[in-house]
Amino acid sequence: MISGSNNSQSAIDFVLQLWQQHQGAISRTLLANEADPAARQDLKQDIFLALHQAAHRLRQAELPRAYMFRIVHNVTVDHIARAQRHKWQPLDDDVQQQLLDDCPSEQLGETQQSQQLMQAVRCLSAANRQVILLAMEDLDAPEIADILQISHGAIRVRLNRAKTELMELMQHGR
Amino acid sequence: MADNFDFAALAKSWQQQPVAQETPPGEADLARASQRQREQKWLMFGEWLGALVMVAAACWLVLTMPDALGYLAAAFLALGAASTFYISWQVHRPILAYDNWSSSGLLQFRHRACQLSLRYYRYTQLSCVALLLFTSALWLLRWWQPATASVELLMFYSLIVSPLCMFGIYRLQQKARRKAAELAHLAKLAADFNFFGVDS
Repeated sequence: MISGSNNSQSAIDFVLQLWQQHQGAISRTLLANEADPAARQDLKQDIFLALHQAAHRLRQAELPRAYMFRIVHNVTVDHIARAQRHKWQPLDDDVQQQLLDDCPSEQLGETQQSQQLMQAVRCLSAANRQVILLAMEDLDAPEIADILQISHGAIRVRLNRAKTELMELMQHGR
Repeated sequence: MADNFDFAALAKSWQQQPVAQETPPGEADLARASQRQREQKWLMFGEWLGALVMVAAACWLVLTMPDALGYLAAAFLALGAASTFYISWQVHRPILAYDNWSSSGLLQFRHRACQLSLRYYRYTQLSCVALLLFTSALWLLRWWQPATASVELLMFYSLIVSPLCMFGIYRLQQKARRKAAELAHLAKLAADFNFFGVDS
């Protein structure tokens, strides 16, 4: 019993350590996929639970970062799949507005550009958003292929289409 | 077109954007997510209990009405129990290993589960209609008297079973409408994630 509890604590510590290492990327993935803060909190908890349940396999993974992102993105996709029931609203976000309000005036231009990028990413189709998010976190094609469990060729095609869609969205200021 | 795009600069801007500080998760978050997962399991167990009640009713019918009508009703109930058990397992079982799935596979699984759910609602509606028809048949038997239908049986089906069936048909129609919308959403997502047929 004590050993089980120790194992659970050790798994939590391991996942927390991994989470802290990639906190920025995880936060950006959450923000890009869920605008509602309460739903985002649920999504974060579900991701944490999924990582915790896979802690043993995560420890042994050849590419722990890719393995972690596979779990993060699969839980996120599952969340989007269930979003119809929860009336998912991807475009309203008080948090981003708050960031703009709190931003010093000299950084406002950059922040507005970031917000425009965030809005464009949110407008992408879910599949394109997934591949763009991974690429923007500096994951290379083999890692993305490992995360999404598809071939390198398919990754190239998808990434190209996703970039085109993102470029069009940014040019049209959506 | 996408080749002219300075994606590296965009990625840099993406990574440097200010994001609201998310508090790191802790044991409380784990407990809440586990609670949601348990609720999903309890829903599944609740439906299994319903299926067991149907099995018990089928056994009771076989023992108390050992004739063609009794066997038919028992078979109907057993079929209902089996389909409830199967659909409940397919729809409510929690996914415990997200690392064993691809996003595309996960969506196909959800899509299939949603399709099954919708079919289950439709079949259950049909079962309710069948019970209403059975009640009508009992009344016809009583009026034309080619065979006898006891008053208790007639009252039971007319006053209890039929109103419940009508309410069931109405509620299932509402659920089926929601499920159909969910199915359309999932079909769109699954097609989107099917990677345009290039994921082989």
